[in-house]
Amino acid sequence: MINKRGQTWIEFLIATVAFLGAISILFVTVGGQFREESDKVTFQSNCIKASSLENFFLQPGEPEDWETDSPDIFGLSNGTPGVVSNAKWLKAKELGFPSIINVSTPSTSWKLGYSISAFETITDASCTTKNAVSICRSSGLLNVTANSTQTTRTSLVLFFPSSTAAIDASDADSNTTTTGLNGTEVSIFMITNSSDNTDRVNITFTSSPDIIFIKQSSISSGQNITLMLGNKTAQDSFGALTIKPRGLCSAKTRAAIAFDDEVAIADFNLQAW
Amino acid sequence: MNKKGLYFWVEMIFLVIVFILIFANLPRSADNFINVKDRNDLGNFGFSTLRSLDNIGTLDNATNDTDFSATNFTVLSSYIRGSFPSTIEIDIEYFNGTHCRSEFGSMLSSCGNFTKAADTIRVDYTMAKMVNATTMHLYMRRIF
Repeated sequence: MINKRGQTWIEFLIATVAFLGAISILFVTVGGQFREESDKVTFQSNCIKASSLENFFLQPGEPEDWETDSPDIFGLSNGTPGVVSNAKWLKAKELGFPSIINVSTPSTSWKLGYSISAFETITDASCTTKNAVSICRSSGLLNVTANSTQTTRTSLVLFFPSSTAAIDASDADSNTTTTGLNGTEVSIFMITNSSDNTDRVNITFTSSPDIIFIKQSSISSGQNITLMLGNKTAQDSFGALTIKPRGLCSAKTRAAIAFDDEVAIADFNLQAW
Repeated sequence: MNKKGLYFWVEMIFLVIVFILIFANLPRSADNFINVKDRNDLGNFGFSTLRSLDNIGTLDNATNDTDFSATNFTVLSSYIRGSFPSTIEIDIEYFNGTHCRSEFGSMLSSCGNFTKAADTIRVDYTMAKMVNATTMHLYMRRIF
């Protein structure tokens, strides 16, 4: 009898399925791994960009007083290391992002924002209170006002270092005051809406501190409500508009921000992608 | 049942070798990048915070320029601690070039002589405006 050589159909079928299975696993694994690694590399290079841009923007730019005209090279410092000029910030916003990106990093997308985290105890000449959460200062007194026509929830935590602070008058929805060795922390929570469009808290403080810290601020609203310090914007951003781009990386730093009449400390957040 | 020939097993061995080579050589970036970035960010945050306090004159106002030992350390500490969120734990020391002082001004036998967690980083900031420049050692770590 002649032996039949080669595979049977069952063996052939098993071998084919095993082969196709192995190839599929290989493609899925390798493809997934490449994608994951590619995302990591994109993220890492964006982090390097964000960090470099942050240092770049904390230079004065060229010419050094470009806020009187327009920049050849963009930069926000007022000349002192670590101090941002509010005049340059406002001029950059006036010129618009497309003009600024041409004199900074034409091939990189970024967005820069700041939020004031500490301010001096001066007296504000005027205060914006309409459609805003406003901190208005006078001697030994802070007046915090929330105003909105749509439902807005405002949470604010202020810290008075080495001082005693107390709430003098309030129609906030809740507030607490905690005094410890290092100073006094005041937490305020206000809800405003069309029927109760203004909440106000007066805080008095003794042994006037050099600066008062904004430890936390959160404004949740259907309308555009900004945090104001007197008539200055305490939170602002500038840059490309986008919705969660791939590989976005943030670099955060603190810098002083020089306004016409005072210097505050702000948290800067630069996002690059 | 048919007996498998030599080449069948040679093929199988090659297949296994190819799979091992492919999987062993997949691109793999360093997993500790996030940790390194986080530590850099924390250090940068600490340094830029102290620089900002210096830039707006708070450190200058809170310290005694000519005799650092006469500084009101409680006030200085309240400004520095007030600058950091509750998610960052800090310890402070002052070093004048020869010896260290604690956060509240007492002389220490040596610098950094306290128990620190493994993830603690140290940032040095020199208050150069003082007559006798003093360096602040800021020990920081994130807590949750």
